[in-house]
Amino acid sequence: MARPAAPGQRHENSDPPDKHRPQVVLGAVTTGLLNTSEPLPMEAARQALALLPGVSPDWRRHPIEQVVSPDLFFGLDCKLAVRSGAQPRAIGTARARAVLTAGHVLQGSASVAVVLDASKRRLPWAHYAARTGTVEAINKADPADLVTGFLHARAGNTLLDLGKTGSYVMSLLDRVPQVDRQARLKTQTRRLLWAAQLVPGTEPEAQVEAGDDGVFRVRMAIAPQLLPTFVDFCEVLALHDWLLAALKNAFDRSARRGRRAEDEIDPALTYLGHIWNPTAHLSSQEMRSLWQALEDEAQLTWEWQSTLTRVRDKVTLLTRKAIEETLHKESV
Amino acid sequence: MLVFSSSDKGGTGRSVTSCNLAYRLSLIGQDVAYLDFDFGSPTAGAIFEIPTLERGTPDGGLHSYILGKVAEPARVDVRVVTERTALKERPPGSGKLSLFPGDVGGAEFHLTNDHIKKAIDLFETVEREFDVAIVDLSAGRSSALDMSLQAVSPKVRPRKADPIRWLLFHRWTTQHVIAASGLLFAENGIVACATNAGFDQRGFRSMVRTIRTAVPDDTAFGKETTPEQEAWLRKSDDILKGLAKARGLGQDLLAGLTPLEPMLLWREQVIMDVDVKRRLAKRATTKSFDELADRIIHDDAWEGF
Repeated sequence: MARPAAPGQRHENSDPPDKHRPQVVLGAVTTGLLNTSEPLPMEAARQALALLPGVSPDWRRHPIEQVVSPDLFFGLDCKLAVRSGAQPRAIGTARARAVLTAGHVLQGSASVAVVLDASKRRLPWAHYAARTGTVEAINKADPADLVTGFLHARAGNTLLDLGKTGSYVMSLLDRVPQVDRQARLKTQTRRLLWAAQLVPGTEPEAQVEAGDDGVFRVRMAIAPQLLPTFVDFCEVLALHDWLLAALKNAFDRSARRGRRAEDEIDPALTYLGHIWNPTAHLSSQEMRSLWQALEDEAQLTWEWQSTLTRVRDKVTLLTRKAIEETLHKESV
Repeated sequence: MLVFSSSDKGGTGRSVTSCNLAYRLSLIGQDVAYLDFDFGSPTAGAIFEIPTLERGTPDGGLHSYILGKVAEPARVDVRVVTERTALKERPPGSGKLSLFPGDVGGAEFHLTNDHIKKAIDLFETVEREFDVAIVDLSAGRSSALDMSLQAVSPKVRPRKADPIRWLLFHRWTTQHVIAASGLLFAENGIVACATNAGFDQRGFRSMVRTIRTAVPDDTAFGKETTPEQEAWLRKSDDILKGLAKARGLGQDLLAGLTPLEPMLLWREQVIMDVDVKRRLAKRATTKSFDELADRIIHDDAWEGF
């Protein structure tokens, strides 16, 4: 029932020598609606997310159904974005997984741990293959610079793009037989980028930034052992950011000209209305307080509640109108 | 819904009419994506007055996406990036308007199955977010046209998916009518291509409609039109109607026509209601765009006319 090992965890367990300890971990979470008309029942979801032959996905039923695919690894040889100076070349593997919540909201979550200044040239592939989820950077770089570079770089062909990796993992589910490709709700895929500097013994401190481009960016200094819970935090934030955007979009669309409001509101309420529960996904005290700090600032839960209330009020008003029209017809 | 815009010749007003259609569709509450598939000369950026995209984008447009160079194509919200102030406003009750630009320096390519798969994914992605996606194809036969037909053929498209509309734009002149008919019905024409891709011929033909662009009326001669000119115009129009009918482009296939709009003779652009109010554009022009937009989204109008 537990969620699988998150990025970086294995490194801490295997306790590598200092030189090969990652200083920075970079990640992206892409969130969208699974392309189905109805949510996948638990059994079907577990079959669909068995993306690696012979490894069954992790899952839980309460408080909300969630299935997490086994980790997949993708070979990388790319440049890392930096603000100034030469872009370091990074070689290794990215770790990625798919997370399906309530049988309907799909996330592709990808990350790499970056070991800086590991070697002066590219080593044989076996070296990197043995260090899953890690890239080693040739040339020096400042960790803080890498963090900023990753969060704010414009996408380029040769740059590390973990959002792309997440999208790819999601696309694996478009072609499984359980998915009927008949989504009833118009939604947009959204992205969250995160970057953590690993500092042993530090108190977790996060900066969350909602960009004009619709991308959430989370920057954090964190003790290495807390990294897996931080990845959970980012996935939870991405999930709830997407939920809020999807519900608002449905409400906006319900007020369009020449459109039946109930066609938009019905699927949104039916499929999304019950999923909001951020703290349920956060197991550690540190991440719960981080979420609380975010709530104090951005009031996401209040916004969700008020949007949901608006949607339900609209349903009530539409119902009243429909009843009045029926009565009027009968009386004529 | 996917709407494909095709034409035999350049200069028919295909792109400018398609951009105007996209804008009008967004005004009537549709979420609209405009996909610039005119890979050789992407123009939508200029029509929507987006300075950075005048000739396509340098970072990963649709052409790069189809060739597999980028994982996601570039996209912009037209109202956010346009330079035209009036176009920036999003009236209440209207929908989104997004442009997926082509690439600067894009070109024709040799079509492979990988490209078709990319196109299938692209169409599926935009249809999940938008109500209408307008795909602007380059003039004449092109790889993009073949690719589009294969990507929406009944072999690959789920049966319950949204409808497809195929628009054929042509100017209202003898040459253009003949050319458009050729593009549609000739040996290697669109219908033949569609049949090859797996459509049955009748099924495909029911998706095709024509749009006659820049159609002059009797004001075209100026204020003092002579009776001779009026008679000549009427006669020419009748001859053209006969020609169109004989070439299979008759009334039954007609989605609508757009009048000759002087504003568009100087500059390809979005004609807004404010242009009519300022007495720069003809009321008939925006009216024709509105009628077309309305027909495109209504199935009954599509089957009926």
